[in-house]
Amino acid sequence: MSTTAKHKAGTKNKKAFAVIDNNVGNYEKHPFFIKKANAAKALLKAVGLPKQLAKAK
Amino acid sequence: MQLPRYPYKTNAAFLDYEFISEGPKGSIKKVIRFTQIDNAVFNLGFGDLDEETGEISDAIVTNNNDSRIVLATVAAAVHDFTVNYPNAVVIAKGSTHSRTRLYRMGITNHWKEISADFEVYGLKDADWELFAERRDYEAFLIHRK
Repeated sequence: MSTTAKHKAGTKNKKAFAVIDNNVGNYEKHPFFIKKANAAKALLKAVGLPKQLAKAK
Repeated sequence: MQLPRYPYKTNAAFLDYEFISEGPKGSIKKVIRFTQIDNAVFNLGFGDLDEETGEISDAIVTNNNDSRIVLATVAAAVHDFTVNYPNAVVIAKGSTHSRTRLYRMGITNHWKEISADFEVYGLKDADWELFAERRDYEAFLIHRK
């Protein structure tokens, strides 16, 4: 099972507000979001996660 | 939490979201993406989409007089994302100090509702601390309780 799939487990009893529409784009490879993700990675590499969360993850 | 917000759409993966900001500057398409950057950590990215060029920017000051509605819509997307990825940690940082401050004000204004469902951490002087009102932060981490 992929990491992403693992995150989706156990969510059936809560409700999303969004309308699901398969015409919504997949922006995974958009340079804007790649740049933002890389900046966030660098930040996390520098400061890590809070101790409480790091233990849980 | 039922704040006024724009109708918004997502795809089946619940990672990408789109909505339209309406105001004096016209209709502006906004896009949100949760990008996985570590095992359970996702970056919250958010910007204006120029549908002609395909470019996305968070440097534009839209001036559509709807920042509260836009923020509430982004918050709703965070809700939806974490419903579908309950173990995820979401990192959010504004493109400028003033935008990060806007996030902080949004969290503060709705802290009672947010804190019921989420743990929120703020980054202060290179250390994460549990979110406290009236503290200025450089970034935020959000995790569903």
